[in-house]
Amino acid sequence: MTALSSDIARDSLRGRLILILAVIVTASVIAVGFAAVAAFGRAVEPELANRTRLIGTIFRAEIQRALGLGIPIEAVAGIDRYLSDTLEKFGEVDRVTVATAAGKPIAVAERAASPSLISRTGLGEAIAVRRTTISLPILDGNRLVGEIRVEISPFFVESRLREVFLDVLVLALIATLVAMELVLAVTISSVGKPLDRVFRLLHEQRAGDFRHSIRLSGLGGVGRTAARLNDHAEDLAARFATLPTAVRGSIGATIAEAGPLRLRLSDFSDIRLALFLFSVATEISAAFLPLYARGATRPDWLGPQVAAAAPLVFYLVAIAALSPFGGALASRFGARRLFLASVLPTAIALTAMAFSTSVVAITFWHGTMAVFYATATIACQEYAIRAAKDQASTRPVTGFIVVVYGGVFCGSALGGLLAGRFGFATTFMTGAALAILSGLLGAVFLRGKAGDRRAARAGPAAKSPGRPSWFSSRFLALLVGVSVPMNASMAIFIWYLTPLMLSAAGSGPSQIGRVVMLYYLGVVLFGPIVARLADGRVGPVAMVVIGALFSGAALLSLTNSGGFWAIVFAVSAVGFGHALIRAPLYSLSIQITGGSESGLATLRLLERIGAIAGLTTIAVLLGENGAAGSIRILGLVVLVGVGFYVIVETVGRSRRAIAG
Amino acid sequence: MQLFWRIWAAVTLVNLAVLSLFVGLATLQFDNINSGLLGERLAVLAGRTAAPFESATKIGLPLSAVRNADALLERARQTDDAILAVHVFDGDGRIIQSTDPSAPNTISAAAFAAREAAAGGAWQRETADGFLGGVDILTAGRESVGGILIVYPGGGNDTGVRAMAAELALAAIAVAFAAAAFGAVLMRFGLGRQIRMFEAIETDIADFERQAWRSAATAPAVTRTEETGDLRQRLAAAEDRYRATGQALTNAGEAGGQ
Repeated sequence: MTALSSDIARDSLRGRLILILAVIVTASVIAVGFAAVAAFGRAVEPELANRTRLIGTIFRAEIQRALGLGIPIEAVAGIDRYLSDTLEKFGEVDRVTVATAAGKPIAVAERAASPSLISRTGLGEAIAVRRTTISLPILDGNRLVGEIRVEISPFFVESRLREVFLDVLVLALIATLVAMELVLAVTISSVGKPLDRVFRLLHEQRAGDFRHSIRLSGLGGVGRTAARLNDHAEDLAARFATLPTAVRGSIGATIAEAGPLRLRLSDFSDIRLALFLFSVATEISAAFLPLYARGATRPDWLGPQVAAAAPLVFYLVAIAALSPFGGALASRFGARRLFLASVLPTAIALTAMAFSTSVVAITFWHGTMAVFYATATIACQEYAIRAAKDQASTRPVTGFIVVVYGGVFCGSALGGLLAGRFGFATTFMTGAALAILSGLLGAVFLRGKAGDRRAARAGPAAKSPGRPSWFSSRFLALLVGVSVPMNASMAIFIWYLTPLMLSAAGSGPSQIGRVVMLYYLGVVLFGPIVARLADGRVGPVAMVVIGALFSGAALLSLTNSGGFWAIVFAVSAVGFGHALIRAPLYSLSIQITGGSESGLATLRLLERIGAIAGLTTIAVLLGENGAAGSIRILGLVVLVGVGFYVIVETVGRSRRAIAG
Repeated sequence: MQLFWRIWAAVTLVNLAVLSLFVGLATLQFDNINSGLLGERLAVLAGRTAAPFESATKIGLPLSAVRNADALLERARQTDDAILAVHVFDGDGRIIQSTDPSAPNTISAAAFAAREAAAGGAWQRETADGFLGGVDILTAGRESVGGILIVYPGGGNDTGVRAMAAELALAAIAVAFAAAAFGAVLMRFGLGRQIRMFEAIETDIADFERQAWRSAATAPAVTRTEETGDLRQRLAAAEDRYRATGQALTNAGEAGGQ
């Protein structure tokens, strides 16, 4: 086929459809989100009025107590100081005025205010944010002697609505990601795959190969063609079976002897929906796990901070322990079986975590979940790489990473929301249900050949009698200089130091969660663009180097300026930098090692060991260096690492050029 | 057009599902915010009510020794007509003063659990009995000797949440209709080329099939020069190969039978 290639047609349809869907869903969610914020504002107004009245009542009671002792209202001493003190206690009070019955102010306390963001942008009028004021009479016996006026700051309403609006934005992102995964699954199963199957079977039959049939699906003519081509194969197989064995060799075509076999095509998109849901399920506790562990019963010798960190450390240890064997397991049992076998234990571990009351139990079950998380994700990665036509391409790995991080993003946001409303147990049970659902979807979608057991390998790595191909200076420099620092900075900076620093700066758990999510959002948003650049003229090496330099600089930026926005910037920038590195790093590893299992296993193992070692070291030295000092060291390690990699890569290229 | 309408239906359904999910999550979020605001107010009220009791316990008097305890509790209750009861309970959870004449002997297990979890701070929890907010009463040595518990009806909050769900659902339905129309226009222009390509595949397949039955009646061949003409040739080549192989099988069968 010349002008019309099924690949081009399918890919362009998919790309445009995602774009259109993203526009429609985002616009719809923003529209409903806007309506939600306005409705929230109106709905909370009575409660805000109740709070204001209560505050006014408290003020009045104190003043009336003084009046009860016979002191005239104009002579109540220290009223200004009392009002100022109380103003400090109630963050939402903007101004309190005590006036006589004639309206003459006796005391005024107010907070310095600047125009609010909502009022500056004009959004205030649209969502009916206004200053709430309440006046209460002051009585001395049965005599009206004055009035107390309490004005609630619109900043308070704005801050509550800002929280709501940020939550709405997070929900919109979750909704858009879920929608993209769903529509991709629908498009691929109803348009892309039926076309692929028909073209593949057509190609085979033109070449005289009638051994295969395909699943009947597709619209109109495509479905009829599938039926026709299947019938060709079945008819010839039936007639071939009746021939005497002696004359079978004289047929100039390949025909199935015992009926045509079902052709099973693989696409790296097969893993998307199942992996996405699995990631959502396993990361559903990301926003509250340290709190859950800290609140559980623990041995006397275990401090609360260590207890909070214990599930995280054992999670990394469990993944590191399994990483060397993950690829081998996927080859031995097949990606499909390994994924499906991982689902049930994951669901059991999540259920057990819901009912665990001790740190030991939580840590054990979280570690167990980590083992099966590792097997499931490695199985999906194996499937994606095998399903890709060009195995050295960055795209399947990018697709894999974007889906996993999309799941992490959605899981942590959804988990925080569910835990806040229904409690931890219900959230874990939801995670278990999602894991089971991902297993069912995996059983449906992972039916391609890429999910089968790998045949005996005949690659260059298996044939080479000498040193394994992954044991090269290039690969080791990539590991030590880029991969390990990247994973160490994720564990240290994103998982450990960011929550600590934000908490110290006065941020609550939901705000911390939203900032941490910015890191994952970088991968989700920029992953596909990075894949195109890495596969195009820029190349994976340049992407890895630029990403490492960017993340190192972002870390060092925190040593000059602290505070909330500086952390937000650094987290976003590190997320962007790592988004540039992740997929090209795997692509480079596959290029260098020739897709050797031991090479990829080494990569995964050293990544985890680097994260554990870095996290432990920084945690131990935190008291000595402080957060800023630790981040400075981390930034320098990243920059020195990438410098080392650039030197090794440049020297290697010069040698190859001379040799070539 | 079959593909167009199928994609449009899929996109519209996915959008509807996403909006449903969004409405559900946003309603939960509203419930959280509403509960949080109410809980904070009850905590302030409980703290204010606890102050005179704490003045007594700080000089070593028991909670039951506070004069006018009934009036103190009643004053707190009157700040909001919706408050069901204000209780004072001792360290074991026994209710020793209440605005409710039919108050239970002890605070509920849910209140106990919430109090334990708060470890001395103000606390609130939504239960089947209603919304509970409380604070501990401490001695000079910062030991808890009991607390104040305010019981607020949960029904009002539920009604507000249901109203919010209905309002958001209505907004979502309106937006979904608008998005469906907008989506149709967007897809008409955005996917025009892709849909024409798939339609061309359909046309090629139909032409090939028509050619097959016309050839049986030795009618003139269908002539078309389209960008997908190559597909028809492929179909024809596969068909020819099938027929040739079928003929070869027949010949081989006859040769084998001789």
